[in-house]
Amino acid sequence: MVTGMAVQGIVTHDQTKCTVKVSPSEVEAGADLSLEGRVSCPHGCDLTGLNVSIRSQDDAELVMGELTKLDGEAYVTNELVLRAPLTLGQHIYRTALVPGEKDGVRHAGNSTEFRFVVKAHAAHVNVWGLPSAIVTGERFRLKVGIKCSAGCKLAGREVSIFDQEGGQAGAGNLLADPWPGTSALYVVDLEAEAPRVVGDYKWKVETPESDSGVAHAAGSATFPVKVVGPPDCEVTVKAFDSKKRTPIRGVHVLLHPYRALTDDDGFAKVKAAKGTYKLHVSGFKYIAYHNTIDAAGDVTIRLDLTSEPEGDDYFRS
Amino acid sequence: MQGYKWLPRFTGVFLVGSPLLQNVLGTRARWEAVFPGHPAFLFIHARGLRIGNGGWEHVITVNQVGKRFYNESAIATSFGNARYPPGVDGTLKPFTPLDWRNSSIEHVRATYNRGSASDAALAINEGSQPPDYSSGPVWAIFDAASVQRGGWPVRHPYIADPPDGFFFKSDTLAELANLVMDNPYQKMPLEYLEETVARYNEFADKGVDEDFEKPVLHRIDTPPFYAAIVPVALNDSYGGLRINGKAQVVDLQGEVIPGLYAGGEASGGGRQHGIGRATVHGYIAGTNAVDEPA
Repeated sequence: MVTGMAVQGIVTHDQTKCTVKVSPSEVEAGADLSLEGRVSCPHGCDLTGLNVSIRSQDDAELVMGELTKLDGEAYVTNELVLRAPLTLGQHIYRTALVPGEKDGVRHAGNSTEFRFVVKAHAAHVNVWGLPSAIVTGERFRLKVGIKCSAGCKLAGREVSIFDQEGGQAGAGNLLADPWPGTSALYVVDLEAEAPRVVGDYKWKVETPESDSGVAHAAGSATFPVKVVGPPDCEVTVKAFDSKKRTPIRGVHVLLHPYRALTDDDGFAKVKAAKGTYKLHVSGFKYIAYHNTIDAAGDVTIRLDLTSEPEGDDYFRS
Repeated sequence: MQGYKWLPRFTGVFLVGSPLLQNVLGTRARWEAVFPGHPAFLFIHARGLRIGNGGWEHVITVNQVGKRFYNESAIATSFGNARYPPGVDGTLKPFTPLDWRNSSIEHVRATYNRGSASDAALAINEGSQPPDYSSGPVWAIFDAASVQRGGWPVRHPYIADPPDGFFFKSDTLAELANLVMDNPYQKMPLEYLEETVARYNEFADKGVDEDFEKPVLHRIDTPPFYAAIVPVALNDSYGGLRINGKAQVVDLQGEVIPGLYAGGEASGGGRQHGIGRATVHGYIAGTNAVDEPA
């Protein structure tokens, strides 16, 4: 039953209902929470201009917002932004209408609890730059990049490589500066030794969780290690422009799994195991070349590549 | 051209499509290859990256949920029959309101041809539900290694500055999947993008594209990562606006929408395209428009 009390000419409505919408319900440590305070009076009073207070577990006021508009049966605040605490786990905060008088009516109400969960920053791990084929037992290099979901500086963070059996195959620490072209992807160059048996392996890179100020979760990513036998032949591709008769730099040569790019002289040398390969040669703005070759020994192939039609404006219909 | 003479009296709207397909990424306009200073640049904001036919080898294209749907290398070289449903069956079938396919499963099976891009057409609405199908943009996804190999000028005026929602760069694929939401036509994040790229990279390692038979694949793994819109130009359309014999647009219930005419590739059905179709439709529409009350 709704009650109203009159004290010295002022009516008090003390059964206002105060709630809050929280987004997201799970938030990363230190990230922003979006709140919308919602208050309704069972008497249908206009509550615009009154304030809502968001309070922490120890009753400290964190943010206050004014009720500005009616949304259904409740008056709501504009978006209130609250910085999430750094402590992980569930947090219980309260929202309450700040008692206030308007049009001869004083409104008060009970506070209401709301909950949200603070989680550690995630680590997005990426691996690139390792050779498409690695000779048994040879050392090879790869790059590992890690991005914190909140964009934190990760310089110095540990990274380890684990082989297919879980043995540590390499380790390092992220460098001081972000990878060129990125805002906060921190990288490390790592080196490891390939298995001594030919095969396709799946290795893993890992970075442990850390809690230096802000909690960061562990992160990992797998990557392929293709191990091949020692090469016993060399395939040389010489790429030239068919009209200009000039060498073409940067043409991609693929004899799966071997890959190479042509140099300034238009040459690409691929050391491979003897065998039959599908040769794909492709350069930007040139018509690609495909053929099957038999690499029984060293092979040299000269290709005169034809340019795609000139200009930007050719089209098909 | 008589239609143009009558236009001042006409208060309706003409929609006439135009066919064009080029190898360009990251711009809202497919045919206006213009630089700053050209009046159209004020609206286009970017000239776009011209990647040539060979450039498709170095990107993947994904639909509005982040899934591949075609052999990218065939985009520029696979001619003809790129339509759904394949064949002419859909043209003369009775129109079924709210069924965007408007073709029988039997007909699709009978005429199925992988190169016809019917898979691609079906994939383009993925993630949306009837009756509010959305097609969303097609995104070319590539990495820093693609940019380096191609020497693509990832800078203004080839891409927009400030950004206009048609080209994005990010440190991770996960971020890229959400960034594209800044495009006004993208209704959902690229939910499957990371999964799609991981699968594509596996194919690159194997040397075989098990999904779409793309002949040459390059891993997409070198940051930063890019999403550039692939501006799709409409050529013929079975999915365009439905018109009657007077070139009047009809609604989903088959009723004429007063004052709205369509022609050329903006209208659905038909097999002819280009200027001939546009002018014939324009003549028919204009002839009928003059008889409508202003």
